Amino acid sequence: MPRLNIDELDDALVYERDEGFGGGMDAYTRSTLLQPGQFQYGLNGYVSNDFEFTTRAGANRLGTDASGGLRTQGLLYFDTPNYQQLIRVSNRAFQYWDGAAWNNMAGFQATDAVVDVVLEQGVDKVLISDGVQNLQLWNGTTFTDCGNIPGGGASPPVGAKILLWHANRMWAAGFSGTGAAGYERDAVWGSALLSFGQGDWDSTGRNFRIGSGDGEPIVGLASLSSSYSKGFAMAVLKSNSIWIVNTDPTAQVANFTAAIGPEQMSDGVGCVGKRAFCVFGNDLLFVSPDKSIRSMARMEAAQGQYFVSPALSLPIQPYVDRINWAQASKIAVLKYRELALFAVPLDAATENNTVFVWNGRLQRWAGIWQGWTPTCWAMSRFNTVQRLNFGDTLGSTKQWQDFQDASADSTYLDDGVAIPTTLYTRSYLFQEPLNPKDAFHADATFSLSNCQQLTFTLSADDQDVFTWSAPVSAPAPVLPQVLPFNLLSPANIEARKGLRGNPAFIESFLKLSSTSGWWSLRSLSLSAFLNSLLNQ
Amino acid sequence: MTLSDLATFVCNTVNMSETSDVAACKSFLQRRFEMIWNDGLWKDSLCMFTASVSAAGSSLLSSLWMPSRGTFVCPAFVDRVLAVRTDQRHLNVQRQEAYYRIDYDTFAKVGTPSEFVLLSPVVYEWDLPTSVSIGSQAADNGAKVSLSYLDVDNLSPVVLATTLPVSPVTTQAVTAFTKIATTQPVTLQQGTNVLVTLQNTDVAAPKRQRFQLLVRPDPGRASTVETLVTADAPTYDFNGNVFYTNKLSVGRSYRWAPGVNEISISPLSGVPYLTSGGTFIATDTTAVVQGPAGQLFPQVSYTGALYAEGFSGVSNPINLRILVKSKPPQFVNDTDEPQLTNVENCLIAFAHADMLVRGRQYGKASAKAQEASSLLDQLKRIETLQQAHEQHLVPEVGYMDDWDLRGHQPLGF
Repeated sequence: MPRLNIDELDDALVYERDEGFGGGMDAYTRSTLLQPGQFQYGLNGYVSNDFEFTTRAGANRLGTDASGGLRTQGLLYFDTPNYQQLIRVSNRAFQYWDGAAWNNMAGFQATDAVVDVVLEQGVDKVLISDGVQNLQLWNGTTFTDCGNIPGGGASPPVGAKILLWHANRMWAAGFSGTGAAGYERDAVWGSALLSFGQGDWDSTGRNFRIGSGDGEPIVGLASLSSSYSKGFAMAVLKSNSIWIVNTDPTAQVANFTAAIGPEQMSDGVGCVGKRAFCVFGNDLLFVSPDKSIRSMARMEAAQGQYFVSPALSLPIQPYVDRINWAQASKIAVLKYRELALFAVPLDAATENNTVFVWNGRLQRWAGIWQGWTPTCWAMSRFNTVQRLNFGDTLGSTKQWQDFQDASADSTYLDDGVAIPTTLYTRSYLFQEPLNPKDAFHADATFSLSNCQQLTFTLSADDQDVFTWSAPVSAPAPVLPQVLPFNLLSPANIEARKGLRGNPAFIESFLKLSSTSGWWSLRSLSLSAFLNSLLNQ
Repeated sequence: MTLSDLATFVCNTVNMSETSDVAACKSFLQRRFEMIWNDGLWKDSLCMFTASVSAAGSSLLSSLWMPSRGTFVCPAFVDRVLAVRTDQRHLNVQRQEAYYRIDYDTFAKVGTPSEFVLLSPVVYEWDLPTSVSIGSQAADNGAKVSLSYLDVDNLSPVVLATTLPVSPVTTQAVTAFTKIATTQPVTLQQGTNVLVTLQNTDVAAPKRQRFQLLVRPDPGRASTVETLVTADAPTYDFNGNVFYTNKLSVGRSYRWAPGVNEISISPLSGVPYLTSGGTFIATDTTAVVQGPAGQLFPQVSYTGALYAEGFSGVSNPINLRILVKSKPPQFVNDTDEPQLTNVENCLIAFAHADMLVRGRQYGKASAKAQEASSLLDQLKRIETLQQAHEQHLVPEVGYMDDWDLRGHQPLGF
């Protein structure tokens, strides 16, 4: 209850505290309505164990860049009993990383130097389409031209910009719609079972249409989790709707339109691009052109049924609104560990320059990452170890260093470049929304950190009124010789500051930001004195 | 203990040691020091000096501001005049009304003065209104300066805050000249004579520097050059008639030696630093010294003026010995010590109480303020008893109280 007067002779402090930050980022809700643990804005951080807000690890180049410095057109991890290759396409050329160096893949080049190239693995081979030329097969050592033979026993459909290995078939879609019958914008082709080379396709017998010319082109195909009843569910993402097809291998592909019937899951909610979605467990997370990020989830109580969720992106809606939607077709999404990473072009950017990070474990947005420009993602599994890789706009292929020593400074560099980290806490009312307050002190607790200058700013009633800086690093012992490792104190680090003398406020929050170094915020406390009510 | 030591001690005691806390504590210490200084006639606050006053050539009518003869204007360090005497006799202090209601003949009296009157603070001025202007490099056009001067009616103060260049204004007195946000030296001129030059280096963040001009009050000032420009209020030495300031630059003090036809500014110890007027270079000082006679610059806000009795009829000249209470000494810089002996503990207690108030612990602050008051009482006792003082032998009354005859009847009545 608001207090008209402060009756005590010696004023008592009132407190606010965030014990952790597992509530995730919420920039949409009024900042005073956020719950403890939520924060307004997090840049280049994620919620680590113990619900700490921690600087993300950096990403380092894998070997040398592709020649030309152009955007990466495609990236795929190819894994067979004989080969482990991370294949990239940039400046028309194909290369693979064998775990130690990049190797040129001679024999085929993409038509265009910047247009996306799709690659998909099945049956120990990779099918490749640049949308113009004959599709190619890569078996780990050589390309094989699949030709352009129509009819029964046909070649893979030339012009496909979407490929998917699903239910033991290769599926192709994404045609321009200007070609012959079977190449409509909503056409889906299926290969023969377990084979998708030349002669394994049928331009009349193994394709079907989704929506039958409803004006919505197909923008993506996704393989959904299998279960009884609809155990071969393939999601067909169109520009303004989403469909599910039960691709039963025993059924005739051509009958999927008429006899089996794709199931339309949504109308008015579609997808923006062929890389703008990912499968996350039982969910299909996708970026919809209605300026939202949604999930199509399989219902637990009804195994074969799916539903499209309300917008998951509501907490980051101010940033979703800033996406350059004219370039939204370039959005690239990947599920990695507990995270779903949405690389988007923000504001006037024409290429992806920001990553929205969804923590599926917490079902919260972990924040926004910048410093990366992924055009495509790929999770590699060299020696069965998962790593996050992405190709960027300058032809580099980078690998996230999340596996490196969390206490090493070098882990927190983006290829040698320091990573800025920022956190805006929720707004604190100190349980009295009407009484003005005088800030008394702030106390931030950090676990293992090494940041020479972390800047704190007290924002009172949305005005930055006080800024101070403090090093956040555990004191290291002075030894007579240099050790080959960091000897850091495991003790928590306290950063306290008196805030007396600042203007009174109704609500306040703290901004924490650094331009370099790394820190892990455990908890945050503020105290203040309540002032008498301003009632006139 | 220095101001910094005191503030640190108090802040550590109350566990509030942020920069803003220390700054607040210093301001509390300063205010409390001034309060204690004003609380009593501390021996450390008394100052005596000599001066001469002449009635000859008094120009009461021609002076538009105040009579320039028969009057002694106390130096700026004087807070209150306590007593005045001549070489021969004590002077009684008198109210001015007495000369109008009781002793009507005072204005016609001649001879040796026997009384004096305390006047309100006064300002100095040029004898006649003159033109002053502010000049600067073209690069500063549009930058702001301010000039505080006396309006043409010679009564109204005017503060001109304007952008450069400034047109000449006619005035009889300039009280202050402030350089704001300019990058080049700015000059204040009387006609073509440069009175003050404020260097660009004089202006530190937040690009504001106030200069005051001091003129020694001397009846013979027309023939001597006695101008000193300081960056802050001056202090003084206790030898009288000598002014110096220790605010010109950090770690350096300068002395103004009057009585010669030039300005002499020198370190307190050592050889004269500048003896012929001119402009200090930026690395030496923030002050500017004005040179030859006839270019004096007026000053405002001297406090504690006093008349010699008889106005124009005073013997010419008379020598005065004046006992004054000085203003609180400077207690601003971190290295300043409170110039009041044994005041530290009292200051600490008061500042502690103030810091508790700042922390909104009013109950605790009240208890601490009581302790501080006790220490102030103790300080007064120390001031009285623990140094040389005259002791009086008070005889006691024998075996009975003279006033208690009824209770004791030693004679058995």
